[in-house]
Amino acid sequence: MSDWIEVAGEVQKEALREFGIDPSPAALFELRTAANRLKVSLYVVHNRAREGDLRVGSAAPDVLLTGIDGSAKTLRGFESVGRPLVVLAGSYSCEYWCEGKGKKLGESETDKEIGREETRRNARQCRTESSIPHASFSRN
Amino acid sequence: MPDSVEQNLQFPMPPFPGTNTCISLPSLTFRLSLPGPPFRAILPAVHKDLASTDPSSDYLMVYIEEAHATDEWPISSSRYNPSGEPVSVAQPRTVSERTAVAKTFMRTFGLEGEGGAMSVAVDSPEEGNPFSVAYAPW
Repeated sequence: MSDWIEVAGEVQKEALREFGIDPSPAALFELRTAANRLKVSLYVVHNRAREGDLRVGSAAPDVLLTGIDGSAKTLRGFESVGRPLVVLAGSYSCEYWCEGKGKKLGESETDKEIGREETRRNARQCRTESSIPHASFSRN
Repeated sequence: MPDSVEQNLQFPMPPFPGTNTCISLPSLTFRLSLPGPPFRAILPAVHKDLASTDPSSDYLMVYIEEAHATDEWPISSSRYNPSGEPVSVAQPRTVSERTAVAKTFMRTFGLEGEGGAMSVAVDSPEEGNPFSVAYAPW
């Protein structure tokens, strides 16, 4: 065996044998998908990722937001006439797994370039699409 | 306003996940970028290196549901946390709780002040997280 997935596969087969189950492909499939199928994994229970309802050309809904000062806001309320609006959404506990591991933000040029370039690209493309105000939106 | 925003894109639209999507209002176009780099890593760079040097755009950060709340899907990660400590945040149940976390985030990453280079708003748990419902930002 030369790869971790082969090792994992052998461990799974051994586990099935230990419980008196023939490690057939069907049995292995059941074992490997049980956590998701039975909704016992945290990834399945708490992962909020979804495709959403919006598509290219969809109308962008305005939504109620709360300002950091506690005041009532709307998304469109942050729009200034004639200026692009770049919108980013996320949370403190959303981290990053890239090669910059172990470095503080700002020490990794890779991170900085990814963040800058993605946002620049979105803003630049929206500018080319229309001369009207627009927003760029980056995921959690 | 173009009839079809997609027709004006400069590169083919990949399928989800990995989607860059423009959606439009008569006077406003949004670009959805999926998957972008996760938040904690990119936001300060955007704030410091782009928002403050790109006077042609306005920037808004919307603070949404925690990705890895301690009471939901904890991963105890300290990556990109300036303190070097694992980020430990329970899922806020009220807008007040989320605002408090957002303020901590802003303070930790130096996003406060600087002439309002980036506006900040919070999606409200009590209202059913309307921003997340509408835009599916995860």
